[in-house]
Amino acid sequence: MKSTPSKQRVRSTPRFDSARCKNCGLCACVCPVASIEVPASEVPILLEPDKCTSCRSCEFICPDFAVTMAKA
Amino acid sequence: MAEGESSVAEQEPSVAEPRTIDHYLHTDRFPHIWCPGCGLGTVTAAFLRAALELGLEKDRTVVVAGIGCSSRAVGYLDFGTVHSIHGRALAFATGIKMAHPEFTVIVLTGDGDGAAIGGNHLIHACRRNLDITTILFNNNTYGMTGGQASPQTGMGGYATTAPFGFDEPSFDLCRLAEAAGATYVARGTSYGVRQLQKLIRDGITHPGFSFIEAVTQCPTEYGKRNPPKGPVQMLENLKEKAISRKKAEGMTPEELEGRIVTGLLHRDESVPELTASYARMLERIRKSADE
Amino acid sequence: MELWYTHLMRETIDQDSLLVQGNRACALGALDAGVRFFAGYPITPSSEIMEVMARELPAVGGVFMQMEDEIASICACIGASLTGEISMTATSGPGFSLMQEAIGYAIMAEAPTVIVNVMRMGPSTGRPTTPSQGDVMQARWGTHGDHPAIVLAASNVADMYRLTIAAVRFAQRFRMPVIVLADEIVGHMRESFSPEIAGRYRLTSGDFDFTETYIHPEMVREVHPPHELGTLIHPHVTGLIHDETGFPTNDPKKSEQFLRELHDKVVHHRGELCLYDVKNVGKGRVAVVAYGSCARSARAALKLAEQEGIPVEVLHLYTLFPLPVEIIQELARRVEFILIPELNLGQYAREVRRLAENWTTVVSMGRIDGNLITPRDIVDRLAELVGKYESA
Ligand SMILES: Cc1ncc(C[n+]2csc(CCOP(=O)(O)OP(=O)(O)O)c2C)c(N)n1
Ligand code: SF4
Repeated sequence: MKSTPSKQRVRSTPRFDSARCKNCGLCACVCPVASIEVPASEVPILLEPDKCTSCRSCEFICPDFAVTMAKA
Repeated sequence: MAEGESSVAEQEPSVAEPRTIDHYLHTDRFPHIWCPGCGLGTVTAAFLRAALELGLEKDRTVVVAGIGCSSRAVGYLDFGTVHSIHGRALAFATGIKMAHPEFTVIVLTGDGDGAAIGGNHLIHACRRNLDITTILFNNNTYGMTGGQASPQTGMGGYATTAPFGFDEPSFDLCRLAEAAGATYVARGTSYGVRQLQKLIRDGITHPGFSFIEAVTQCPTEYGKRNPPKGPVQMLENLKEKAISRKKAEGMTPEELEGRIVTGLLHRDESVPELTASYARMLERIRKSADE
Repeated sequence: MELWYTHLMRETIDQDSLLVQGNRACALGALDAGVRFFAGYPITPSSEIMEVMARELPAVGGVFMQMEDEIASICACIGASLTGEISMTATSGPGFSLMQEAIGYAIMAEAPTVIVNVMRMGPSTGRPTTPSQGDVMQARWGTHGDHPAIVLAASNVADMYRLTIAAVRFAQRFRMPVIVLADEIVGHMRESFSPEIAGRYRLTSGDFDFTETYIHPEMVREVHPPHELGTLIHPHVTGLIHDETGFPTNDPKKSEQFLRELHDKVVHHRGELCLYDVKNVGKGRVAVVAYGSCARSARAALKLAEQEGIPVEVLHLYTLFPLPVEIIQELARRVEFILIPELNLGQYAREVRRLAENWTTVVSMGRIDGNLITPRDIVDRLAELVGKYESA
């Protein structure tokens, strides 16, 4: 892992758009820190926002354009 | 790890982008028609991020598709978009590009659309080396019509029209494209999205015919009949099967059996691009008429 | 007038007229009408059209493409058309069959383009160098679904020139594909032709003129705004039923409205679209309705019949579809019977019959042995029929 930003900055974490999400679970499957949970027929939940590395994997894998990264 | 692909885990935290891919989407048309966990949206998103990177202009970019689940992508894209007829996207695109070489022309097609009914147009488009970028969504089946066999279903695969197992071999689409004359050939998967985005981006900037095969999952129609089942399992399967070109080079055909070789597979900048050589011909004719 | 026939002028420079082949005249017409994109695939008896285009289009900065098949050809033409280019393709029966699906797309997407079909004897490979008019109903109904059609028929070299221009203008104005039917005779024959001759032929119609000012799509109420790829005007094009936004809809009301508008734009402008010429109006007790090469024979038969004491009216149709309903029904009211010579088994006769049978008898005179119907053949048949109907 290359990054430990020298400057303190607010990290982005995923936001899940409930109108677009189809509950497929791919975001949880690619999360490198296993921090996403997708309850049945509900929008994914970021379990431990602090663990999130802002890697955007969930955003990129989402087939429903439902994940955006936003600053906490 | 495939070439150009950093593992999903290893990516640097990114700086917030001024625009998201929503910039290029008709979000008012959501929810889209694709099934939950279908990889078509993932590949489309990779294309849109490549478009963002390149700053493609909506009104100078034309995206042409055929018919199929994959081709439905154009219904959500805020470019000039043509949802054409089954298999003929490349023929439409040829007319558009020849008439307006200044447009960025992208073709989105499926394995049935591009390799079965449109196979002839595909090889001729490769041969012409027209500056078009083709992204072929390979989900090994005819999703839209309900899971019939496609040329990419593969030996032993199951489909509604191959209930006892398919007994025909499939194409190696990238080798086909290369042999037919495409000057940029690459393969990615809907798991290796960052690599795919890069491959698509480089394909668009490549001045000539670019062919990018995006191997992706159809959990509904293919996954239903062929293990592993379920979008997550299918995605993990893609991850396991994908292997970079570099790594594949040292491997025997037996070892490569069932693997998906990803990365840039072929690039040739020496072949003249068609609109450019056509323009030169017009210039020659104009000069000789002036004399 | 001088402006639009530059290609024809160049051909005939220093000569009053020149022997021009029908297919060549078609290509010259296309160039003069502003066609700047041609994609095709070789097939007898239409290949000369693409050969002339291959030579001439680059000189005017246009694009010529020889495609891998006829499907690709028409699709490329539609693609070019969607960017605002004026496009055309030419083919014959087997190729025309391949194009049908895409013709339907052009109708749905309201993409103007011109398809010239120089008919040969079919079905299948048939007799490639033999004339026929066997594709008339295919031109009308070849693609699936309920759809409108504009179909013109050329009877001589001059027609090949001017009807190609008319087809381009109609396509632009009504934003749909227009089909020009010729047959092997018309495509391959050479006859003297000049701008002067072109101007002399009369095309009776509401208000058709050959100049570019004719294209005012916005004047045709039922035509939807044009797609212009490369701008953000109406930028999604689809063969799915769509609404005014250009995006697909499954709404029953909107679907019907859309399909009706596609038809209405043609039907409501029938007066303008139906090009024809009548000879001997009101002077004959019997009539011949003809198109294409048979119309030449019919016109010649008129004189011959007169000499033999059979006054006959000849209706020469340049537009086969939309059907010239009013024109045919008016004629039907005036005459005892209508004879229709065609190089098929009566395809158009059936259309005329259903329009005219309330008022008169329609007799089909079909020929499918590959030979022409001569003026003599027509006169002999007229004489037979006159005898029959007078004794009756
Ligand atoms: C000429 C024609 N034949 C058949 C069809 C029916 N059809 C629609 S989509 C499709 C298959 C699409 O398969 P593919 O390109 O692999 O796309 P996918 O749906 O899997 O993304 C077929 C056969 C058609 N629309 N047109
Ligand atoms: S059928 Fe398959 S390809 Fe089509 S949307 Fe569903 S999962 Fe995707």
